[in-house]
Amino acid sequence: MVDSSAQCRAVPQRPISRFGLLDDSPRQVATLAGLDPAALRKQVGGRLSAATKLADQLRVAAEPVIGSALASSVPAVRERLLRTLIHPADRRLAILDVTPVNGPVMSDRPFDLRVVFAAAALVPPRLVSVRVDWAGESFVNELRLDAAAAQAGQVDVHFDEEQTLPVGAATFTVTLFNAAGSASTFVTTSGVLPSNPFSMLLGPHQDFVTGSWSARAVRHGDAYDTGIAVTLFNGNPTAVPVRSDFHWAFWDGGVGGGSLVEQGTGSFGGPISVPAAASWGGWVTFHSPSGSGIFNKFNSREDLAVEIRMTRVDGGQVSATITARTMFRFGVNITRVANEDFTATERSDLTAAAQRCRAIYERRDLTFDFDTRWIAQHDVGGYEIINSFGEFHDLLSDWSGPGSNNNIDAFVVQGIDVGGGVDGIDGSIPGPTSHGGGDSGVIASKTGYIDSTGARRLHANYLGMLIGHELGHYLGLEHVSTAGDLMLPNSGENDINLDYGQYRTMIRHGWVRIS
Amino acid sequence: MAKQPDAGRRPQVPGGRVRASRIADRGDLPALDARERVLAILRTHDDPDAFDRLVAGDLPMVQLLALESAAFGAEPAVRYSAIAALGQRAAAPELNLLTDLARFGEDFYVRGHAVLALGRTGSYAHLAVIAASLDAEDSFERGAAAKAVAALTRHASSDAIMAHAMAIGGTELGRRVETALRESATTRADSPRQTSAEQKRA
Repeated sequence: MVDSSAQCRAVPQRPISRFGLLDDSPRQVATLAGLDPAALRKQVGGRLSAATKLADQLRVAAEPVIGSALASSVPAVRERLLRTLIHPADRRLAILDVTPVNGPVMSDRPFDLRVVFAAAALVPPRLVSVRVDWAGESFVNELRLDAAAAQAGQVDVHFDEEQTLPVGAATFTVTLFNAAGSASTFVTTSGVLPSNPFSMLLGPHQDFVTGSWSARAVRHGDAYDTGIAVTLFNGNPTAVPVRSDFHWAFWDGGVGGGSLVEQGTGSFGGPISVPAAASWGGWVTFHSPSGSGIFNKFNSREDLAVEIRMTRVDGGQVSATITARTMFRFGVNITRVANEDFTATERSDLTAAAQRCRAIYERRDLTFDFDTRWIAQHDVGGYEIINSFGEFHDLLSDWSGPGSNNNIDAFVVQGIDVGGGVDGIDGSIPGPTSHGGGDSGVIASKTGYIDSTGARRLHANYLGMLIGHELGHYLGLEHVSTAGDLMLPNSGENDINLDYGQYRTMIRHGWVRIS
Repeated sequence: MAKQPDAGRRPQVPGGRVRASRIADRGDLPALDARERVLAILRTHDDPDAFDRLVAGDLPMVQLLALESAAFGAEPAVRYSAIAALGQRAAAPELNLLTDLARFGEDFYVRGHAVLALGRTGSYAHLAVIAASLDAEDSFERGAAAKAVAALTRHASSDAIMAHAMAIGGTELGRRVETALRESATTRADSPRQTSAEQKRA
């Protein structure tokens, strides 16, 4: 019998209260009424005398766009005035930051989130809404703001005994509204630390993910590779040392109750110390060659339970389990149209969007690999901005084809202007299983913007959903009217559900194969 | 296929999978309902007739959404959709706001989308604003201006547009508009072309 083997490595951890890759950064936006000339100069740059003059002009202006134009004829200054300041009569408002109050969120305990914002006194915020995405069903917590909170520029949202969270990650999407109907949204993720106070959590690792919190066994030649992320959460006020070696076991059926398929040991190498009120992370990849027990189980489409057990230096043990399984997959070419028009940050955001898109599909146990491709600006002609359906089909005819294997072509263009509500287009439902012709692929508008620091960004959460929506059409899905579904005609960034019927439709597409 | 994953299965969660939601009363905030209604239309992905569902009473909210900045935490896709919707309601308040955004918007994305919307109105009364973006620093804004000039030709002859361009900015602007018209047109390739691969298997 051939044995499986384990490779592992420790990985750097993100801050416990800024745990998600797609979290927003604190925003550099201020209320003009609260700034003296020196602070205004710091906010928008330039000379102090100019800032004083700017402040005087802005304070008497009405609409911010016109006010900024009157205040400065220098485009860069004008742009910063609009991007970083709440003007006196501004109906816009901005959430600046969201953080847990009194330290990290602890499992099974009530907690508070502090929402810091900037808004004009004439149009104060009136309602804050927090959507919580965690291991269970998403829920919402809302709070009306009184005059005192509006004036203070911050409000604490309380989560009570019925809204406590287990150890793991929880993403908070916070939206603040005023009476005019304007809104600002901020996304942040917290690692929820154990109150008990030390625990381990296993998750899928990178490409080996499935969304139902299972690890994915991927067939590579004559072997299956299974990647698992290991996170140790420490709710103690002091660091906890842990031995670097660990024990692993694969079970058919439940851990301890089923039959043991294979087991072994591994080591993360160096000493492990989980910092106080923080986390430590690493990954383990199991390589199961043909003939091994794990290989045989996966090859017959069986699910397995994986257990990893580690030992604290003081002798206490910590362990966790996760299901591992094979799954269906397809391939996508993510192609940047007019490559030079994507900055390094935008390219990074596009990768994050593709990963977001993949995570949406993996929630329904369907995954994809993606190749990153591009068309140079000097080759792109009029395709940089698509302004007719004919032009869209021409793009596919010209550029979907040679050398792009059996992946679905997803072109990310600079803009779509075909009239009405169109920010993505699919060639046909379902899309063809061959390249060439005007229907082989989808496009999505890049949804670029400039953030408050002046950096060019893509809205990765939205773009990931949008690409996923168009890929859904390509794989055979029509629009639906079910709330929260990815295939709503007007799905937003949080509409990411796919039901079992949709899954069954997609896996019948000719380019979807068993992993 | 028979033994493939039970796609509906979800992990066990300590304390159960459900937590109580607390929804605040919005009775005295009617604008929030209006916002939801308009957002449902503006977020439409692939229906060119979607904006036909907007009614006159929705326009103040569309204007508000056209002003919301991504730097403040608004969805850029919604804003660009709102800007496009303004172009389909070519009354003075909407056209004035589009003109403001095309000239003074806080970044080239906003200006470019406003320019596209002005082009889609089909009126060469906006040619001066559109043409100003032909010299923009960023290629998206320049490309949008070229496409907007081309969009005007759906409702007017190229000669008429050229004549007005020359009246605004002399032969120099006439040449730039002529170039824009030429470059915005797409020429089909003789045979399929190959995209460049950046990396294999992300």
